[in-house]
Amino acid sequence: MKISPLFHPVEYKGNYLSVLDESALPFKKRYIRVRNLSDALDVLKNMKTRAFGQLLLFYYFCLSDARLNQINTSKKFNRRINVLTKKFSQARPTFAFYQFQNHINTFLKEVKEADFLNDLERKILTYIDSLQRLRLNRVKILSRILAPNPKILTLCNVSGELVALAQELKRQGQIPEFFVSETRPYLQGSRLTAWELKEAGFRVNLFCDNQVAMVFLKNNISAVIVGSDRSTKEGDIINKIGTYTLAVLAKHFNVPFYCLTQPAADTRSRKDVEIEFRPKEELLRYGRKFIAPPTQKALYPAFDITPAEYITKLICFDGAFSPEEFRKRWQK
Amino acid sequence: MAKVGSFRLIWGLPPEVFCKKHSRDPDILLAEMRPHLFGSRYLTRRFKRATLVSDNTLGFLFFKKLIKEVILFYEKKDNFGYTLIPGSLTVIILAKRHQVPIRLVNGVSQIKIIKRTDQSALTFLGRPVTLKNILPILPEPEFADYKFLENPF
Repeated sequence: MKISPLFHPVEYKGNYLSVLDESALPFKKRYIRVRNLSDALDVLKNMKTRAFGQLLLFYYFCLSDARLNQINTSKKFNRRINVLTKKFSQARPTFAFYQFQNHINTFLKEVKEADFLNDLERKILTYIDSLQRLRLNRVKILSRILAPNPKILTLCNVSGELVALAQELKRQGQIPEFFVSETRPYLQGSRLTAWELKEAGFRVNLFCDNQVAMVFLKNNISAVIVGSDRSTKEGDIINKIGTYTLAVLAKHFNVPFYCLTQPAADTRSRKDVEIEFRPKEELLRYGRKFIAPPTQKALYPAFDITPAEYITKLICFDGAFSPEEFRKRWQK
Repeated sequence: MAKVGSFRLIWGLPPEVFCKKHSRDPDILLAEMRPHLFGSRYLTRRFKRATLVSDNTLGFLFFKKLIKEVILFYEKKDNFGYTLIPGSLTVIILAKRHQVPIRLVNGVSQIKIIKRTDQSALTFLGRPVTLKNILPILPEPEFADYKFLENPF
């Protein structure tokens, strides 16, 4: 099975990381070397990687930073990871980096101090491998609940999982078709999702974000599938700006809305989530050219919140759950 | 972050007389209006104190109750309903879902006022953004009948 390059966009190389520059795709495929914290924050702030790439960047960078700074005890590592988590969270405040920190802290309890860094490295790399297998399993779960030969509407990019889904459907003898919303202002829908699906040999239709009602009206869409940067214990999701619009429209046209998501961990409700507002220049400018006067007021929230009531199923690593079922899991 | 009910959203192409009358209004909200970028390229020059957002931000702003009114400029009106620019149905559904009033006003024809660089999502300011062999869904005029507009959601 051919995997999308976006499925694993950050590679751990010991003393440095190799990060796929998603902002250069689809016309250039280049990798950025991340050697220090400044490089890592630059990659984050400038959207060179996002979504699952951010998770990989955090876990791998904690390791390579420890190698670089010769951190060899859990106590020293703990102090350092506090600093890193704070810096990463400041760079992208909506993403739950502190949840990853809490997770790494659970590893620290089991790490052998005598061989601290090598043992931690083994644990983290094993965890990432298992996570990738769980993501592929999540796609299989989703494939079983979709209508036959589905017409799937999506936005932004789910870090290679839609290609895996399409291939799983193909393996089952089905022919999926994709309708991708361009996803302004970074155009991840056009540049990443449409590209990776087309490269993998699937039928892709691309439309402007505001056309979504007409796409529903004229194309007999079977399902909306999105990813999520976070979920809450109440079953809400936080994802790329525009997700909420898709959810409202899906409800209007009576189309199921599925979200590939991860455990809510300690995010109780949507009130606990800070929505990141990006610089207005990212909206006013395209490349070096201003498309609107530089003095124009503009708002660019990078994410929105989709309340549970709009979601048909949350697709987790171990099953598909209605928001009500999802809530109950976290109340246990 | 703006306050509840801060904005009046303009969707479509207002006539020059409307632009002149409201050019200094600080509560005007403009969306980009892809693919032609009517909002970013044309209306920002007429509403200098307005706030610009991308089209996919509108749902978030409705959800946050920041939009108090939608002023929808139609191209044509007949016995059945209104002919509107691409994207209007999305705006109408969002407004109705959030119980925001829609004011329909006679607009101008889009063809007369701006050179259309982009025909679809395949390009941005004339530059390709993805592979050429991807199928674009071409934007087309949208129609909303009176019944759809008048009925509550």
